[in-house]
Amino acid sequence: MKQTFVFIGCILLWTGNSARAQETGVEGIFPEVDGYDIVFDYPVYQPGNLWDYINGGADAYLSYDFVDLHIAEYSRGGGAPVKVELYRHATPVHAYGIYSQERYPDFHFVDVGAEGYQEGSTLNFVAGRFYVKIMSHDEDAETKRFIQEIARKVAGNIDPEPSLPVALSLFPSENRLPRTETFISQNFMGHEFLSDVFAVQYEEGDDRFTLFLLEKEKPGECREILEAYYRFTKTGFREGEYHMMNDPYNGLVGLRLKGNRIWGISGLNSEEQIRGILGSV
Amino acid sequence: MDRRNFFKSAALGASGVMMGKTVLASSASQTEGKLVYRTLGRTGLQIPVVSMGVMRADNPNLVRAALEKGVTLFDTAHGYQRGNNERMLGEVLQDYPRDSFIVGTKVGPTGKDRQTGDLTSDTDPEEFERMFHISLERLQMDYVDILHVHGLSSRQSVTFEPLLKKLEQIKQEGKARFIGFSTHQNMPEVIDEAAESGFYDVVLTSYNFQMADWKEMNHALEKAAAAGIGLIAMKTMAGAFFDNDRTQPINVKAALKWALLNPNIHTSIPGYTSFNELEESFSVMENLHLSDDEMKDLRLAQHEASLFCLGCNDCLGQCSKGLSIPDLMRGYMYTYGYRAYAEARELVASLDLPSEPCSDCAECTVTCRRGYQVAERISRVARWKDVPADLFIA
Repeated sequence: MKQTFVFIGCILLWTGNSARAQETGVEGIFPEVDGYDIVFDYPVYQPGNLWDYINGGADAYLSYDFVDLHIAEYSRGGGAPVKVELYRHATPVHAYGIYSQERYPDFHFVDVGAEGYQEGSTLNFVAGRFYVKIMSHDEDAETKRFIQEIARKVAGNIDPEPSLPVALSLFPSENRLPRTETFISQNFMGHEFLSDVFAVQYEEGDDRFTLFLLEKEKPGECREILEAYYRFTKTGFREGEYHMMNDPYNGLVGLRLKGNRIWGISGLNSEEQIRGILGSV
Repeated sequence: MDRRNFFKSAALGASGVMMGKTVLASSASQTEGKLVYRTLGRTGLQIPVVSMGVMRADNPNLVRAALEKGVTLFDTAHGYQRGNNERMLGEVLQDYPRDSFIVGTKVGPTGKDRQTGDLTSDTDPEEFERMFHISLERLQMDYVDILHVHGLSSRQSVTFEPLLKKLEQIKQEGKARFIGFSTHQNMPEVIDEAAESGFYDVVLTSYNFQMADWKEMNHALEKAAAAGIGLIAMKTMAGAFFDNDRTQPINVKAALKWALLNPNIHTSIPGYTSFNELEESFSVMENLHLSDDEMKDLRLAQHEASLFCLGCNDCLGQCSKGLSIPDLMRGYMYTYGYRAYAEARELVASLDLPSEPCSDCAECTVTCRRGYQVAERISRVARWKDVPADLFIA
C-alpha cells in the first residue's frame, strides 16, 4: 500500500499540472486570469503527507475526511503571488465542517461560495466539497480586490449555486447567534458516541447555550446513542422522548429523541427551560 | 458537580500537581492514578509525562478535565483552527491561576525555502513578532511559557540569526519564558544543531516507535537532553493507523508508552479530543512498562513496516558493483518509513547511481542482517534519481 501510494504520488508529480488536474478532477476550477501567470509549484497533498504542508493542523483536516489539496499561485509583475488552496473533502458537509472549525463569528463575511470571509489579504470560503483558501502577503487594495475576483471565479467553477448544509435550516432562528453554526464530525462535547453533529449557539437573556442535532438513518441508531450516554453517566436507561443527562464534564445536557433525530441542549441549568426549547424544534 | 465547582476543583487540581513529584488526580476524575513527572530540561519545569496537544480540541470542558487530571502543559499554535484553538484555550485558562499551567504556542516563520527548509531573506522577524502578539491577544495572556518556532527542518533554519535576535528580544521582554521549536522533518540534524547552538530551551519533535532503530535520531535526542534541552514528543501515535486508508489502528497506548520509555523524552502531547482518549492517555502513567501484548503489537508494527535500516554497515563491501547499500537502505527508509521524499531524493541523487543498478546481476551478493531483499529495495528507491528536485517541498 505504501509503495503504491508513494509512486502514484510521484507519477502525479512527474506528469505536471495538466495531467494532474485531469486525473484528480479539479480541472477547470483554477480560472485563467488576464495578465496573471498561474504556477503549479506544489505537489498534490493527500492524507499521508498533509503534515508536510500544514504541520499539526493536518489532524483536524483528516478528521473531516480530507481527500486532497491542490495549490496554485497567481503572479503578475514583481508583486507577491496570490496563493489558491483547494482542500477537497469527502462530502460538502465535511468541507463545511472544517471550514466552520476555522471560522470566527467576528470575521468580515463576504458573499462568496456558500459562506466566506475576508481578513486583509486572506479570503476563505466553502463551496461544494471544497474548502478554499486564498491569500497573499501583499495587503494593498488591488491585491484584495483581485483576491475577491478570483474567489468568485473559483466558487463559480466549483458550484454556481452553493448552499449550506440543509440540516442548518432546521434550527430555529429566534435568539440564534449568527455565524456560530458548526458541524463536528467526531467527539462532540468530548464524547466518542456523539459524531456527525450540527451545533448552533443561542443567546436568551443572560443565558448562552448550544442547540445541537444528530440525524441518523434509523431511529434504532439514535437509541444506541442515548444508551451510550446513559452508560457514560452511569445511570440506567430510561424510555421516553426527553432525557436529562447529568454529564460530569459538560453539566446538564437535555436530549429529545424525535424519530431518527436527536436534538440536544448544553449550557442551560434549568430542565424546564431545556424542555421548552426542545419542545419547539 | 456544577460548573462553578468544577472550575474550583479543577483549579485546585492544577495547582496541586506542582507540589510534588507524584500525586493523585483529584476525586472528580473518572479514573484515579499516579502521575509521573519529569523535568523539562533546563527550564526546570516539572511536568507530567502526558501533556495535552490542544490542536484538535474544540471543547473547553475537555481542557478543564485535563487540568483536573493534572495536565499542566498545553500545546497550541498560531495556525490551529485559524486561531480558534488559541482563543478557546485562552478563554478556559482565564479561570485558573497563571502559575498553575504552562502554555506553549507555535508561530511559523515566513519566507521558508520549500526545497531546503532554510530561512531566507524573505523571512521577516517583524512579521513573526506581529503574529506572536496576535497569539498573545487570542490567549488573553501577557506571556507564554514556551514560544516555539513552528516547523524547522534544516540546520540553517535553527541558527538563522535575524530570527534568533527577535526570539531573544521577545524573551528579554518577558513575553516568552522559554524558546523552542517544533520539527517533524530531518529531525536528527535539526535537533543536533539545537544542541550545538545552546540557544533553545525546548524542542518539540516527532518521535514514535517506528523510529526505534533510527540511530541518528536517538543519538540526537541523547545529545540534546545532555545539553539541557527539554524534549517534548509529538506524533507518538505514528499517525494512529498503519495504513493510508486508516483501517488498521495502532495500539496508541503502547505507542505512547514506547515514546515515554526513552528517559530523554520529558513529556508528550497526545492530541486527545474525547474524555475516553484523555483517560487512556493518562492511564499509561499507571505503568509505563510495555506489557507482552503491547510489545507484541509494536514488534508486529516494526515487522510489518520492516523499513528501518539498523545502520550496522555489515553490508559494506558486499555489493559486486560497489553500491553504497546502507545509504540506499536509508533512502528506502526515508521514502516508505518517514515519507521524507525530498530527503530521499536528495540522498539517492547524491549517490551517482547507474541506470537500473541491479539489472545485470543474476543474484544479489549482499546479505542483510535483517533479511531485507536488498536488490528489490534498490530497484524501488533508485527511481528517485530521475525525479527533479524542484517537485518536492522540504
